[in-house]
Amino acid sequence: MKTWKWMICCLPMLWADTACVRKNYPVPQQPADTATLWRYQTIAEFKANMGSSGSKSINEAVIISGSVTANDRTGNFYKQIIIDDGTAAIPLLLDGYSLYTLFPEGRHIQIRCKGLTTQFSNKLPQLGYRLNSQGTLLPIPWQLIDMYITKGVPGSSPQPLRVRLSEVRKALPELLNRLVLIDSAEFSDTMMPQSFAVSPDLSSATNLTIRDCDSNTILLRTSGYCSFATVRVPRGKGSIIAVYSVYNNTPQLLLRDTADIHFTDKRCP
Amino acid sequence: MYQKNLVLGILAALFTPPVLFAAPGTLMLSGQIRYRDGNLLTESCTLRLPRLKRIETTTGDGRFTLDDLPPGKITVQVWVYEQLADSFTVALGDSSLQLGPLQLVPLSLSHAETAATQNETGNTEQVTTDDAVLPQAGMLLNSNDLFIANSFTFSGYGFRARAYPGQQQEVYLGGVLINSPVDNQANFQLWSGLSEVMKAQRSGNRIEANADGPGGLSGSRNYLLHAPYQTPQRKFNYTLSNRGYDHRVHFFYCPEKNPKGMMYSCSITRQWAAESRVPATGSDQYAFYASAAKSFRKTTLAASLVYQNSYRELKSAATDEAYALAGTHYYNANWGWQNGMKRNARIVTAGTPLLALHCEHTPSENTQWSFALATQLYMQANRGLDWQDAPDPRPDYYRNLPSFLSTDNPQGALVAEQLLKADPARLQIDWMRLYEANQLNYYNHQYTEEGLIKNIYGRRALYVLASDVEQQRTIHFRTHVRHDITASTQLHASFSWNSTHAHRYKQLDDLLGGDYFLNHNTYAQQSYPGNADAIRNDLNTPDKELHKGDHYKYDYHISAQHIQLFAQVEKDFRHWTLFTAVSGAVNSLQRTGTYRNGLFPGQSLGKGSILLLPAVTLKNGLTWKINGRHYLSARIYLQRTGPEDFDQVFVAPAMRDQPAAAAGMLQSTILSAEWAYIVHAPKWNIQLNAYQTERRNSTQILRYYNDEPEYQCFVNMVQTHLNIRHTGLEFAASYDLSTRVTLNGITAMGQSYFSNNPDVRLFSDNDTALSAGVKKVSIKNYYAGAGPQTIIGIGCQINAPYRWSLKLNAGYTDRNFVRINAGRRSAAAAENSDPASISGRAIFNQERLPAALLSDMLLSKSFRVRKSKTRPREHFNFFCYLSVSNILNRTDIKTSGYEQLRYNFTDNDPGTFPNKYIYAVGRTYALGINFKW
Repeated sequence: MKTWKWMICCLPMLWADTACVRKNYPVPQQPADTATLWRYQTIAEFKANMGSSGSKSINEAVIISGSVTANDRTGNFYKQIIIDDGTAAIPLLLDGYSLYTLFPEGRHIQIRCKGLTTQFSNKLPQLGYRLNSQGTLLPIPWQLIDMYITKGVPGSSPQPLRVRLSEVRKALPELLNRLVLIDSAEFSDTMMPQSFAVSPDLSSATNLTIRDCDSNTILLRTSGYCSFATVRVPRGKGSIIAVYSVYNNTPQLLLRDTADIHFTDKRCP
Repeated sequence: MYQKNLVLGILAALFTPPVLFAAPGTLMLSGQIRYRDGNLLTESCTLRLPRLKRIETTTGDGRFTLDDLPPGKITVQVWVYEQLADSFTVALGDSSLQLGPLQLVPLSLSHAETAATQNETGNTEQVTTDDAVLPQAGMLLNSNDLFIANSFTFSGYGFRARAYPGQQQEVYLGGVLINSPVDNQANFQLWSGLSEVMKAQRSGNRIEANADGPGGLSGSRNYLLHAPYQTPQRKFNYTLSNRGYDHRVHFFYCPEKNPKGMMYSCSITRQWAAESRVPATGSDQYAFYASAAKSFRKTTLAASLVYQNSYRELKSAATDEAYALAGTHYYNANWGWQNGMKRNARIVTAGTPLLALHCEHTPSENTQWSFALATQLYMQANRGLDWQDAPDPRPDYYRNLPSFLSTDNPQGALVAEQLLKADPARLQIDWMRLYEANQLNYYNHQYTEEGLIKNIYGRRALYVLASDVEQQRTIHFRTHVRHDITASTQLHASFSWNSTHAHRYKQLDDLLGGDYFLNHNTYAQQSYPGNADAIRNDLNTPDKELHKGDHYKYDYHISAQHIQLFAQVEKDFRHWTLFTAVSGAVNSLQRTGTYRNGLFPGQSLGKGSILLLPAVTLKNGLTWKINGRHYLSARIYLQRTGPEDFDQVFVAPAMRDQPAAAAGMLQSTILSAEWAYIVHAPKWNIQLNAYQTERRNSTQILRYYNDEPEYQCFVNMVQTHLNIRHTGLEFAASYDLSTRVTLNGITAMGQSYFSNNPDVRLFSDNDTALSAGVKKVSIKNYYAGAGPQTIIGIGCQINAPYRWSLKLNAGYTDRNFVRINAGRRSAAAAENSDPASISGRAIFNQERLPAALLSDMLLSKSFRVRKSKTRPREHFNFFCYLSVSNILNRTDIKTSGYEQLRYNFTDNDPGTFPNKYIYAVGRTYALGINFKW
């Protein structure tokens, strides 16, 4: 009988401290509202200070902010996100994959630019980390992202600028990297049986031609590695939203996702 | 522990007939030492005849024959593990004597790590390995083998005797063979909390004669679970420690056999740690045991129930770079801060109830028959992070460390290094970021179910916590017979049948702030862009959103059966002992898939073919008893078997039913020979072993991410025709300097290495071709990477007055080689590399870990307190102990290491995925008290 008494005495010890070992973890709260992130320069002002060519290290305490308009969700953008503050837009080079997990479209972010570098790459302005020995602008290392970027709350993606194809046939510096919407556009006839991009084994990128009913054209550039590469291009006509870009003097559109194409009307006669 | 009254209920001596086999002119004394209930002894013990200066040993079941005795009074001391259990005196007249059974209380023995002090009543308290030194492994090593006992100190530093794999040891529990038919291994963790119960055991070391079964190269261990084998006692133990647990509470109760022949025993244990020496590595373990038995005139019936539940947070191996950045060898990449609490992502939970029934029937003195039936439910879940379409969240992933930047961006690497050193929390999992990524990932998901299109808009989880779950239902049956054909010839035979149904699946445990997850194969997405079916792990429920508790990725069943027949004959001559054992077994394995995988719709769902893997084992041994003190043994072992581990039989069982037999898997052959020289002198005990083992035509499957340009995905490397050689010498000795001081020494020098270049086939996880060409890897003469190949140790045990005891050990380990990556010794890696160059040596050389000096001690004291003045002969017995390991607090000892299987074939740079290591923890202690009443 005494043995059982001893055993009963032991029981509380057996259950002691259980909560300290097998813990429950409450879900963390979303980041606080940081919509009022400081901005000391607009992106337009920032780009104006870049000049028109070459590269420049930023040694002053410059802070810009904006919303993410494009990222690498579908793989058509690689190691970069596009930031737009309503005055202008600029690509931010980041050395990481699946950047969209941190920088979804519409998220407001602040960039502390001191220590970063700007460069014109084939006449396209970019913001990145530093130049390497070959003069190439390096992306901000993944490990250092928190040093330069403060993440704000998610929001809706900025509305695209409505433009006509005839207006953007020539490179327009003020539109570079902006999200644009073009109405009444369609893929040229020669593109019809083609998918959005050829296999990356053949070419890393594919140029498709977008035209309007007045035969104005612009290139739509897609990566062979993007998730919609094998999707057939739509036959109809309609609106397209894309990032306006430039390669040297040739303007081009960069597609974020096939959901940005609404070619549901009849083609141009 | 040994109760003084070696109940010589016995000495039927006076009534026993003369032995007929005695040589003319000499006298013989024979008998058998048994348990209190008449059961056989579980270990051999030593008989010393002080007047004649002779030492003899009993057989494994306690039988002994002492010949060449002179007439007159003979005092025989019974020594168990070098401790005097008791003695008896017989008077020999003109004729030999055959004694009746000499009953001894059950032996719960562990002399290896025991600081024993005997109190005045003859009770011996011990600090056993499981109490004080290494609770998890202690019971493994309770052994009467001098070498195995003394090598225990080194087990915490990666030493594995002869470097044999775990499948090479048979384990019996409660009379049944407990090795799982799925992987042919016994999971010791499942009953490690029951250390007091498991002290009752019988071992067959290496390839010695073994009453229970053929054993493997490492022999066998039989845990005598049932009540008749337990030591009658009431015991409470509390241990405070900084090792695998902080606190341990243990209660064990086993009353004496009652007049009706009933025997009971029960035990309950809990050991837990909120956090051990390595950060965020808590553990919690419960164990419960109850057993009842009734003995009839010739039969004993017993039933036992075991339940165990454990929870462990794991530590990770890491690269030298990560350890240097963290500034500590206790770095653990598995955890991170969440809401101010340390949260570990890698958690193992396990639980098993086991019910065992046992019947032992002794129809005559010469025959004993036992039947055992057991059923076991077993569940183990290994939890970890999983992710889709998102960056690798592991903080020590190579892209997340500064070295990744060092070539292209050295300045960035320097800044990143400073940043990590300044804030080591950045080297841990960023739980907030994982939650954030999930909470921001709003996604419109559309799928079809039963013809209806469903649309879900919500937060698609990118990161989740998920478990690899294995549930097993096993039925074990075994019958065993021992028959003494003559007084010196013994037959053991057994039949075992194990049937297991296992269910393996991946289970979603925590969505980490997300709303749902998808059952997609993201790697297939990369390999087959545009193929909608390829990414679906299950075409029967494509695209269905997953929630907590759902299965995903893989889900299949295994039916495994194991049948084994065994027979052994042992013959004892005056100067020779011979044995021969033979065993035949068949293992059958069948996979049944629950998922119709999008890549392998025809090979994944439903029942696969049944694979039959036969095995034959033959064992022979010979011992020459040169005289009462010197023994010379030679033994050979021959086995022909297929791979008995399910994961080494199927190429990629998670995805498809593809036996490796098609990839050249063969029956493997094991040839082993060992020689032993043993000395049992009054003061000296010496053991010298030499061995050589060849494991030929083995099959080994490794799974890893392959960076070769033609793969760039997870692959299954099937190595066939793989030969491994184990050879070496082992030496152990003990010397009684005085009655109170004993010196011990041990050394082992071995070589376990690959003795040929195997054929290699690389099967991509996602390759629907199901075929692969044969490649060669040049791994001949590389070490198998199985812990230190050289150990040297010395020890001293002092049994001081007033029941103080001190044991000190010092050890040295060397020739500890990292486990190699065979793919790094392939033609693809050798291309453009000169093995003699510095860069070539970095690729091809096998790293040798630094030698290490070890030290530990055990201090103990026992005392007793009278229960009351009215009962002066009854006492409370206390036993206190302090065990300290790694006294020098060396935290720079690399106990093990391995080359990462992922290799940078593009740059041929081994530094991209450098070796990972585990370091020894520093000084650890266990302070405990045993209380018996």
